[in-house]
Amino acid sequence: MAKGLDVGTSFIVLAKDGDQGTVEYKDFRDAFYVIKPTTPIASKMIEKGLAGKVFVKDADGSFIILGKDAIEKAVERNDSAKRPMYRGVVSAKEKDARRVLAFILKEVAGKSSKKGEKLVFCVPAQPVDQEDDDFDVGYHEDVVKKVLDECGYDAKSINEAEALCYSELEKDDYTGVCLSWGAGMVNVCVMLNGEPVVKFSTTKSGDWVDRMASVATGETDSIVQAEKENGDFVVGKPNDNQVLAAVATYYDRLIDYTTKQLASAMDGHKSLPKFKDPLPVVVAGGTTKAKGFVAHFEKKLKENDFPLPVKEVRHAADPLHAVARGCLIASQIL
Amino acid sequence: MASGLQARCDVMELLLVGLVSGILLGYIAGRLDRLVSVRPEENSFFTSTMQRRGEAPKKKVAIDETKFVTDVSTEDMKSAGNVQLGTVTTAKDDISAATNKLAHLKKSKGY
Repeated sequence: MAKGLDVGTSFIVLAKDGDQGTVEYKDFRDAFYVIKPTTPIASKMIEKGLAGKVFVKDADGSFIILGKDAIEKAVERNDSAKRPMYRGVVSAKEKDARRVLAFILKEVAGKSSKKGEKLVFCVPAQPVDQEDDDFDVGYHEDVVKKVLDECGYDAKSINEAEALCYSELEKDDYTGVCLSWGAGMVNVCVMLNGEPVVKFSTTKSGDWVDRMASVATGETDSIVQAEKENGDFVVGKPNDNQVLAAVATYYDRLIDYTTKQLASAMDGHKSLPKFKDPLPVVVAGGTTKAKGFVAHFEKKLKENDFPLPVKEVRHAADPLHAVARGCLIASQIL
Repeated sequence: MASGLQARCDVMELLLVGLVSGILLGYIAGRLDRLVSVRPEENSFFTSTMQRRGEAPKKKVAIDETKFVTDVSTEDMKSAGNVQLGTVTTAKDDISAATNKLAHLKKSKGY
């Protein structure tokens, strides 16, 4: 048995073959929140209050709350939850990031069913809009591989948008353009008959919307994120709720920015073949779940002169699991 | 006699000025070479002679500065609360057709 793992900034998703034509997914919110008790009594009270929540006790006595419970706790305390990953790679900003990411990966992936079980995980592509020493895909890949190797897997990496192509382009003979809109970045892959010909990423996505809306409204990132995920808004349309109005506006700006970057990066690209037929463009990822996203994206692609002929713009069948599904397909071939 | 002595002094003076100027020029040229030439071996006489002879210059030796992954220990983190990490869902989805088609494509391209 092989497995696929989407190691995302916001979610970690494991995909494995289930019984009789099914796929089993395990999702975990990639977030943590640390509470450091000041006295032994406070420690006991905090532990009581955390009953039923996912948390670990660290060697120094602090509590590390994980997943969606971390976000809930942060919102409760008018604070922001931390992320072990930032813009698609292990965060250099958080000192606990590597350990927390390793813990979550070990728990979600579990031990391999046999030594050397194949597992394919995804990594982001080099961004076209940022030249930063902090963005180190190689180091991130090595950290994830080391953790998974320790769990007994034969772990290999593929590009995130390439995995999306494997999941969504079967009916198009694996030819088309796929965009994975994660929390940290947008990954893009152009595929021709199963061969990825162009891969790149941009560094603004859902987290950027949260941060900008947070600055505009004075709320914390976690509160904006919670409002965004539960609220009713349409991309680019006015809203009575101030937080959602800001979110809708910044969504519009994000889509405009990304389509401009797409056009600029692909225009005259040496590796781009001459496609004889118009291509399907598929979008996936948590950021694309906002109402009106696909229609708005299609409109902006046209406005910003996307250089390839487009047959249709469509949503992935299961936007949150598509990358993990692509990794699972790849794990059975590579 | 006096004019002969004067002429000899002039020659000595000229020689002295020439010597001092030579030393100064040499010093300045040396300093400039150090400041301008970041990789002296590329600008050296020997390299250009080798290039004239048609011999290929030696390849630059680079050091691998990518970050090394040290031990990622999670032993001091103890799971508490007995709650399973992650939400499990099952989707009716047979991926065997997609896998076979992709494997066939990859094989035909020699991967």
